[in-house]
Amino acid sequence: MKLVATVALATSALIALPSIAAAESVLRVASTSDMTSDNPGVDRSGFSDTVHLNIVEGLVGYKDDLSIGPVLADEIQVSEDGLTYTFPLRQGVLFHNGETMTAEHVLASWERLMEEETGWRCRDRFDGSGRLEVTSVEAPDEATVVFTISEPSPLFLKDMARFDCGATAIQHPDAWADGWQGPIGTGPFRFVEWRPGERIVLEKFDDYVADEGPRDGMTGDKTPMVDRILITIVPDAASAKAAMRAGEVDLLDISTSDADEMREAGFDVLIQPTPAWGTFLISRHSERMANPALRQAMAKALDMDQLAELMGYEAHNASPIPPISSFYTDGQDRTYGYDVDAAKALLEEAGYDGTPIRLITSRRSATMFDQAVVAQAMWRQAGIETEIEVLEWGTQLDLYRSGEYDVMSFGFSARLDPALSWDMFSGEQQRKVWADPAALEKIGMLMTETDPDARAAISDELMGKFLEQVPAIGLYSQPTAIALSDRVEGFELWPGGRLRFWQTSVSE
Amino acid sequence: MWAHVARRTAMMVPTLLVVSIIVFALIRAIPGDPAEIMLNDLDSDAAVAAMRTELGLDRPIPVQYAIWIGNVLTGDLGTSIRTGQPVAEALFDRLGVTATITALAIGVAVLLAIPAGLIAAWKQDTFTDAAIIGVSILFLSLPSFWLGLMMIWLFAITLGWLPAIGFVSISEDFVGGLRYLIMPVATLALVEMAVVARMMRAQTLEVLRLDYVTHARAKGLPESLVLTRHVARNALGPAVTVIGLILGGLLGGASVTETVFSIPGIGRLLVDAIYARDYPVLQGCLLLIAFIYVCVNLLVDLAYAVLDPRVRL
Repeated sequence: MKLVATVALATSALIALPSIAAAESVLRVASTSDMTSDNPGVDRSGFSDTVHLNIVEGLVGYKDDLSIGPVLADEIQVSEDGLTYTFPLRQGVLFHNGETMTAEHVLASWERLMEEETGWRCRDRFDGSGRLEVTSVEAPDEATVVFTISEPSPLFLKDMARFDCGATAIQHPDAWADGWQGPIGTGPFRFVEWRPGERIVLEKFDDYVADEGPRDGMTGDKTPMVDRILITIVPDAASAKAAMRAGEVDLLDISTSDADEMREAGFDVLIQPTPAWGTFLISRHSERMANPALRQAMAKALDMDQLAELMGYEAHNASPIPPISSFYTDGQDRTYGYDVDAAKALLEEAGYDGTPIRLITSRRSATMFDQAVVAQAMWRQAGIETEIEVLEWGTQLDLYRSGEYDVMSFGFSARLDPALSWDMFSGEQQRKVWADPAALEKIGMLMTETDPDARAAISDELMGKFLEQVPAIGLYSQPTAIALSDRVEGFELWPGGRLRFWQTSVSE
Repeated sequence: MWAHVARRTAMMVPTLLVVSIIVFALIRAIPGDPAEIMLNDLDSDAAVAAMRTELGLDRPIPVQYAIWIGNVLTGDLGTSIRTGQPVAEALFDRLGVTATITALAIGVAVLLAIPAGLIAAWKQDTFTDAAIIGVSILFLSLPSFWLGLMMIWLFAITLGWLPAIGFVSISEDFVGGLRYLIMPVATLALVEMAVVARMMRAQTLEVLRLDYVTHARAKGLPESLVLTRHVARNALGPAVTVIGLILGGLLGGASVTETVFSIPGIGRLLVDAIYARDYPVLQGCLLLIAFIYVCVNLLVDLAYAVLDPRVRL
């Protein structure tokens, strides 16, 4: 009896403990993904980028309209010939170790990133192995850095600001002294702890020097307003939602299909369109799919508006250019035209005999799988038989790279420039689905043309060819969705998609 | 007995060597390239090729194996492709977590299941027997992920007694850590308890029919003594085998339970490594699991000898 009483007492003591007994303000985030490393732009993943970009900053960053603005640079000066970029630095910016940032740190960071052994993901964007080469980087004084490039490029600043490049972060050399030591950036939060598979902890950088101007993408005022960010890794989405309902999570990245459920449970749900693009890729290595009439029939047989609605998205978008982009003109706002009869006529023209078409998908995301199932039903109505093969993601990627499939349900992550949006599925490489020489020439022009109007015109021409040749079937620009507890104030999503923990507070 | 232990220990080496070859070959036989998975849809072919070179994946597989096994023999299990963390460190961290949960779950399961199985057999064909068997079948039939989610719903969401997610090591904060362990341990214990209880019941029924039990009763021994001294000990043998298998299985990672409760254990490490084709971690995990099974089997054999003096090793 005494034992039972003791156990009961101990149990009640255990369950009576508060979840987090802390006086400091903590933003509790749950993530189904973990970081892959704390080394920005080197070992990264989509979620790693999110964490890194709250810790480090580059000279420039993306704004809400996906244009480029200064971050650690005070301004961006471009020479008339488009070859010289001068960045006067913001004054008084401190690293997380307390040292003041100077042009020397910018040079040291650049040199480290461009060394082959660093393994920076974006080195080939600047070393001349692609189109562009940074021919020199100089510091005429302590507060100015000058980059010279080999040819005028509309992509130079955009590549520097890329999330997967770690925003070409400026870090203190102590971060890589004697091997990688962990990030020492200038961002609003300091890196405190990462326990793989368990949690990530960031801490407010009290001496953060905020830029002027309102929060605008990765630029503007990035003042941290909570003491800590506690990111708990919860691999199971159902458990993460349960934790939110139990009041243990303030911010959770959810699927758009869960938005209604979370709203009904009393949470705020924010949905933001992003440049991520859902599509059906059609392999140019498949003999059967080489027939353009068959490809057009498949595109016309899909009721795109219904498909988008079923996936929980606002609208269909055939174009790889997202509607939030300034390059999304009327020329991009065109589609295939849902017409089952026309699809059947095209099938006859193609001589389609009803043999099932191999449709590859995976459960990497719910959308990737669901869109395949819905499309299969729509295609069947037009007389197109498909056979869905559900693969594990790694296996699907193998097929994507080799092009050994007929049709593949796929999603591309965000590209923030029209040249990159068209390039992501076009080219001579095995994995690319569009190798039309005329189209590739146009994409090449987009890579070098700097005039926005001329670029928009080229992009519109590409859209016409894309709809005609159907190398892929564009479905929609995919939004991101976030559920927030009522403790959270000031958090906003933005078209870039990456979560920003600055300018966000929690009420007690 | 010590000679037997030494012989069995020595036999581990060729066993693990064969396991290492099979593991190494099979992992590379499955489609999917770690470099492609890491770089996802974003990168150029040159970047993939560079990463394959960096990871040593461009070398012939026998060369890769020779390098890996050479390093393993010097105690270096390599570093994770995905996180850059030393594999030995990751395994050590995760095994500690899994071992804690497993030990508690097995402990709870055994403490409940052995008496339950014994009583069920002793009260065969009564309400008690039916109740114990019914509950056992129920827990055996419930998928562990569902049981886990229901526990979260009841104890975390509805009652607010226990945390739904997260993990705190009991070595850092004993009382706080226990709160995070209650639900995963209960989930595993309930399922495993059902297995052991059914095995114990079946074995006890067999022993109860033997002549020496009738003799013990005939000479006037109280029923409690008959059960504990004569029946339980002899019925334990097969149950110990099952417990050993469960122990090996759980130490190898209860990945579903670990995923539902966000426990950073060896099971999740293994599953994540499979999805990422993180070869060094995968190889390290599987080698460790093979090692655990070999050790547990040895311990079960030794336990037989302790429980049944007729067994000579």
